[in-house]
Order: sequence, then C-alpha cells, then structure tokens
Amino acid sequence: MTSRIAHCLCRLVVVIAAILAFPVLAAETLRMGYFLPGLRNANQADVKAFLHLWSDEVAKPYGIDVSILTYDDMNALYRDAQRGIINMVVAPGMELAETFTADQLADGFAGSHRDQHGGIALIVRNDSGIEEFKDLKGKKVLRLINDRLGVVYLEIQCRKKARSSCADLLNISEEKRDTQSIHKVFFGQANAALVTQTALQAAADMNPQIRQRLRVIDEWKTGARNFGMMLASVPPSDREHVLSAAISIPTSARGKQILELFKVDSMGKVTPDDLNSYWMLQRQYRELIGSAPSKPTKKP
Amino acid sequence: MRWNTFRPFPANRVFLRVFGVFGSLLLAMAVLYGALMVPLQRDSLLKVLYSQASTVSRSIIQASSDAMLTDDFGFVVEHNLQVLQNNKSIQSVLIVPRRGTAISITTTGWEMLESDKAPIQPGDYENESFGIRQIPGTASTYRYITPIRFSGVSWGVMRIDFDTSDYLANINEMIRQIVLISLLSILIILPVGYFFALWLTRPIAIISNAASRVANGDLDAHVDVPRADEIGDLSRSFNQMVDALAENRQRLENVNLDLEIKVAERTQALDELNRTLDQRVRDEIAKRKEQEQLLIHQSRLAAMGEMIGAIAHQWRQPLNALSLVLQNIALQFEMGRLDQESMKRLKDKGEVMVMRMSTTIDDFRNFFKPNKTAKLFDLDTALRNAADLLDGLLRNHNISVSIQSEPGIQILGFGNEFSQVVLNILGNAKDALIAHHPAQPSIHIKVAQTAQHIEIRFEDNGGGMDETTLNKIFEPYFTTKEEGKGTGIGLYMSKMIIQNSMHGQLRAENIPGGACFRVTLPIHAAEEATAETDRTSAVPPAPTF
Repeated sequence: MTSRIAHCLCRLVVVIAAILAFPVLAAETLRMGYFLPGLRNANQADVKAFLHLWSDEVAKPYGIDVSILTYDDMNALYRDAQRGIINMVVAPGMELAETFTADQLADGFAGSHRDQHGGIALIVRNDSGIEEFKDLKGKKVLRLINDRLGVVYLEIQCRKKARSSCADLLNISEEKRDTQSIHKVFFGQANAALVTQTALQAAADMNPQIRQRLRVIDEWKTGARNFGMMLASVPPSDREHVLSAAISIPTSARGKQILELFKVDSMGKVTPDDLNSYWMLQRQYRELIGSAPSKPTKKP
Repeated sequence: MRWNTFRPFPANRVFLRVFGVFGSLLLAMAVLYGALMVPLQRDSLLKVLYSQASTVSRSIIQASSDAMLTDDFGFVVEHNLQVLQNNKSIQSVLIVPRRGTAISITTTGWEMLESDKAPIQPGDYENESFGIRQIPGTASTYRYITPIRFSGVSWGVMRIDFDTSDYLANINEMIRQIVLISLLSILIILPVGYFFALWLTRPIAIISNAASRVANGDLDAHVDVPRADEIGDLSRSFNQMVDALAENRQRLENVNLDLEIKVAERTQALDELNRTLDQRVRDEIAKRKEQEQLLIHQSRLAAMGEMIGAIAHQWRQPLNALSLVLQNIALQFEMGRLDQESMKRLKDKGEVMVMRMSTTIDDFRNFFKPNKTAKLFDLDTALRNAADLLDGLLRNHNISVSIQSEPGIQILGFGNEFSQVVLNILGNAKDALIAHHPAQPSIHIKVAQTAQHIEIRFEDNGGGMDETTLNKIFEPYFTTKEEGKGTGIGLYMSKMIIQNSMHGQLRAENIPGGACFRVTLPIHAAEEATAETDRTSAVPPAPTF
C-alpha cells in the first residue's frame, strides 16, 4: 500500500517540480496532462483538488500560469499532446512506452528511492513448494489492478517460461494495493503475488516475519516507474531552464518539504532513454503474444 | 478636602481591608477554579478517551468481523494498518483469538504471535477494562481491552493502546489555560478591585479625616465627594453638620460672651456684697442676739410665773395654818386664856409656818438657780424633786404621777436645766390632762438603760396630739394653749437643753390614749463623770430669786 501510494506521489512530485520550474518558460504556459489511473489508490476528485491546490500555492508565487488536465485514457492524452493542448505528460513508464515513441518525448523528471529500484517482484511463501515460475501453474496469483506493467510482465513470463498464456496458466486475481497481495500470500490466502519492489521492501520493514516467510522467485528492475516528460515540441532552451530549476527544488525548504511529504528521496532528471527498458519490455510482449503492430499500439 | 486628590495606595485601613479581602477572595476563587476544573477536565478527557477507544474498537471489530471469522488475517492487518495510519493517536492494536494466531499491529509495523504467548490476561476474554498505564518505553498509554464476541460467542480479545501525548498535552494546555485565565482574571480584576476599593473607601477616608479635623476643632473642614449615592449624601450631610456645628459654636461663643459680661457684672455686685457682708453679718448677729435676749426674757418671765404659781400652791397650806394660829391667838385673848405659855406655843407654831414658807422660797431659788458647770447628778433624785415641785398642782387636779426608776443612775450635765426640762414636760402633760379630762389622769415616768443610752419616757393619757402639732411641737412660739396661758417656748428650750447641753435627743410621739416624750441621753456621760468638766450652759440661765 505504502509503496503504491509512494509511486503515485512520485508522479505528483514530478508535476510539482514542473510547476516550480516553470518560471523559466517565460511567456509559455505549462499545460500538464496527467494520467489519473496512475494513482490507483486515490480518489480522483481529491487528486484533482490536490493538484490545483499545489499549482496555486507553488506556481502563483512565481508569477506564472499553470494549467492541469487530467485523463483517464492514455489515447485521449496522446491526442491532446498531438494537438498541442498539453506540452507535458505525467504517467507510468509502461503507459508512456506503449503510447509515445522516443522521438515524441524530451527531457523530464522522476522521483526515486534511495537504495531501491522501481522494479517489480514475484513473491511466494517459503513453505509453498513453489521453486520457479512454472510451478505456479493453476495457482492463485495476485497482481495490481490497472497496472499495465504487471500485465505485460506476467504475460511475458507465462509465455516465456511456461509457454502458455497467463489466462490459461494462472488463476489471476487483482488487488487494489500491493500490501494486500503481500499479506494474502503471507497468510496463505494466495500462492503468489506480483508486487513492486518498494512495496515489498516497505512490507518487510513493517514486519520482518515477511522477509522470513516470503521469497522472490522472479523480478524485473528499472529506474523509476512514473515520469514527467516534456514533449519534444518544447524548445530545448526552455527545457534546460526547467531542468535547472527542477533540480534545485530539493535545495529549497519547500522542495524538501515536498519530497518528504511524498516519501521520495530525490528528484532527478530523466531522458527518453530512461524509458528504454519499458520499450524493450513492450516489444518483447508484442513479440510473444504474436502480434507486431508498430508503436504505439493505442494511437487514436 | 478634594475627591480627586489621588494617591496610588492610600494608607487607610478600610481601603487595605477591602482591597485585601477582594484580592484574597479573587485568589481563592482562582485557586478553587483551578482545583475544581483540572480534575473535571481530566475526567472529561478520560471519558473522551474511553469513548474514542470504544468507538474505534467497535469499528475495527465490525469492519473485520468477516475477516476474523474467515481467518482473513491479511485483511485484518491491512485494515488495522490503515486505521493506525488514519488515527495517529493509536499506538497499537492487538487482536488475540482464543486459538491460533494473534496479530500485533503498531504504527511502525506488525507481527504475528501465538495466541498463548500474547500478553493477555484470562479475564480479558470476558470483561472490558481500560485506563492509563505506564508501559515501558512509552511515556504513558491509555489501554483499552475489550472482548470480541460474535453472536454471543467469545472469539477473542482486542487490546488498543492510545497515545496519551495528546491527552497529556490537552491536560497541560488546560492547566496552562486555567493558570493563564486565572492570571489574566487576576490582572484584570485586581485593578478593577483596586479602583473599586479606592472608589468605595476614599470618600470614607476623606470624611474620616475631615471628621478628625472637626473633632480637633477645625470647623472649616468640608468634604467634596460629588457622588449621587449614599456616600454623596453622607458627605453633604457631613458638611451640613459641620456648618451647623460652626453656627452653634458661634452662638455658644456669643452666649459665653454674654455670660462673661453677666459674670463680670455679678462679680462686681458680689464684690460690693462682700464689702457689705461683714456689716450684714454683724447686723444679723445683733438681731439674733436681740431675739435671743427677747426669748430669754420671755422664758424668764414664764419660769418666773410658773415658779410664783408653785410657790403660791406651796404657801397656801402654811398660810392657812398661820391664819388659824392668828385666829387662835385672837380667840384666846378675848376669852382671857392667852397666857404666856399659850402665847409662846402659838408664836413657836407661827414661826414654824413662816420658816416653812421661807424654806419653800429657798427651795425654788435653789432649783431655778442656773448651774455654771456640768456636774454629775442622780437621775432618780432629779426626777422626784421636779415631780415634788409640781406635786401640789398635780394633786389639785387629781393627777397621779408614778416614777419607775432605779437610784444610782448618774448623769453628767446641768442638773437644774434638766429639772427645768422635766418641769416643762410635766407641765405640758398636766395642761393636756386638764384639757382632755380623762377618768384617771396619770403621768408615768419610766427610765430604761441600755449599753449606750439612757431613755426617759414621760407618758400621759391626755389624748395625744394631732399631726400638725406633733410636727411643730418643738418650734419656738408654737402653742395650742389659749392666749396668755402659754408662751410656746418651753418645749423649744427643753429641746435646746437636751441637744446642746446634754448631747441627747428629745422626741415626741403619740401612744394609745396619750402622748409620750422621750429623752435619750448618751451613757458615756455617766462614765466620763469622774472628771468634771467646766462647760458653759447652752441655754440662757434660769431666772434667779
């Protein structure tokens, strides 16, 4: 749960960093497109109110105008990006990789945790007798709801390691939060769960018995899971100004407060290359399921 | 004295007492308020804690009931972690089923325990308990333990620990606020009390000071308390009183001035009077002496008359006898029988009569001869001699006289004057008996002696005296007798003799059927009789022959 929330909050931090960095855009208005399902655990109305609150509190003192648009559908977000309605997108890496190509995106920001990577892990109980992925056949496996990365990753594993689709191989259930999945596996109510590395680490910190009773049988590592990327249409000089301003955010009192509030250790610059692992995973997924449509797959 | 004369701390006792009482009451109220409010607020906060604990436990049990019954501990953990996340005051939740796995959830994590190792008492499965506990590692904790029952069947027990930092903070804040409110109240009310006490007592002090000035004689002291209340009325009344006092004092001074003038006039008159007083005294003394001389003269005449009457009575019998002797001489001469022997016998008989008459005159002369010095005399003898002098008169009117006395009682004084007293009393009794005509007129003289006095009672049955006569009987010139028969000075002189010459008392009173004159003489007169003392009689001397 904590990791999921932290994951979502990372996206908020990206947004706020963009807002704080916007003064360098001079006459430009930062028009942010926000993919709401990325905050799976939060009330969307609350998220909207939260975003507007922060845009008012943070952006207004800099004398700039910030507008935030929220989306439930990545296709709609992509259309507005193509039309120039938004010039920055905030979404999970897997959704960005499936929607945009590398040349459509430019530099951006991402929050990260110290000593942790943003990957995912497949966990089972030590006493479950499950040693490898193929042992999961017919077992109850949990994953997060609305998590495109989990779907893609699990399907790839099913097809690569059991040569079967997950629908045939596994009894998959979806949970709202990672911690629910972890606890259900812990108490034997499920055989395995695909959870984020941060959630697993947080759960183990909460109860060391988890580390004793559970183990990871497969994992996928990456730098960050949520990204705030400016579109390639933003002039490079403006992007540099935004980046320099964004990087200086943690040095200010307000910036530290934001990072602490969203349980993010640091805010770093990302480039489209940081999405390469997602694009690779996405290509692998498409190859395995036997279809090879050109990127993106969900263009309007 | 002005009302607006301001001194920050007036040194009058009323102000200090009022202000002291006000301040003490205020302080006591503040302390009492704090002493009452802190426990009340503490109890209220404990009730809030209990209500919160009860509500949270019911909420957890209600939300987790299905999970508990189905051993969905994942949900139980999830739910309680969320509860702890949303309720920062909850430190931990411990859920212990009767059998199986217990779960302990804290703000920093959770763990799974065996139920039999969970820190729960057997009684906790049955009874609710709560209260603040001192748990090692924490400042203090409000612990609420409640049994978990589904359909009346005991499933387990839940223990919730609440952080009491908010509670303690509230208590501290409440104490701080109470102290603050008390201090603020004191700070606000003390000046109010100060000015109230000042407002209340300053006019009293002003009036008191003015009253002291008035008491010291300063009638110019006025007070100026411009208030429309009783104190204002008092100040106005005070001023009116002072004005009235000043006016009265002015009047008094005027009166004193008048008096001084009058005193001066009277003094002058008195000086004049003093200058003439000696002459007046001398005149009065001369007048008095003249009156006394007149009185003495009258008394002398009265005594002389009485003495002549007595002599006449005494002489009547020898004169008759002498007359018979002379008739015998003449008869015997005519009959030729007057011889020498008869003549000698009749001459001797006649000389005896003449000698007797002469003796009578000597007796009366001796009796009325005034004594020059006080001498002892025998009371019985004096009484009987006096009675003998009147014997002829009394017998002529059939008045019997009895004397009950004992010989040997000696009296120091003037015997003849005392006899004069006795004669006056007996003469008065004789006149009363003659006027009243009792069947057996009598006079009883009784002498009685006590340790200190000798009392001589002269009792008659002459009818007594009326009240007026009794009150005036010893006044000079008072008489009830017909014109020419009484002078009114006999009893007055008698009283003077008894009181002044013999230091005794003469009183008159009525007794049944008559009157009684009582002569009381001090007994020491007899004891001191060994030394004769030359004394001058207080009464004028009796007439001499």
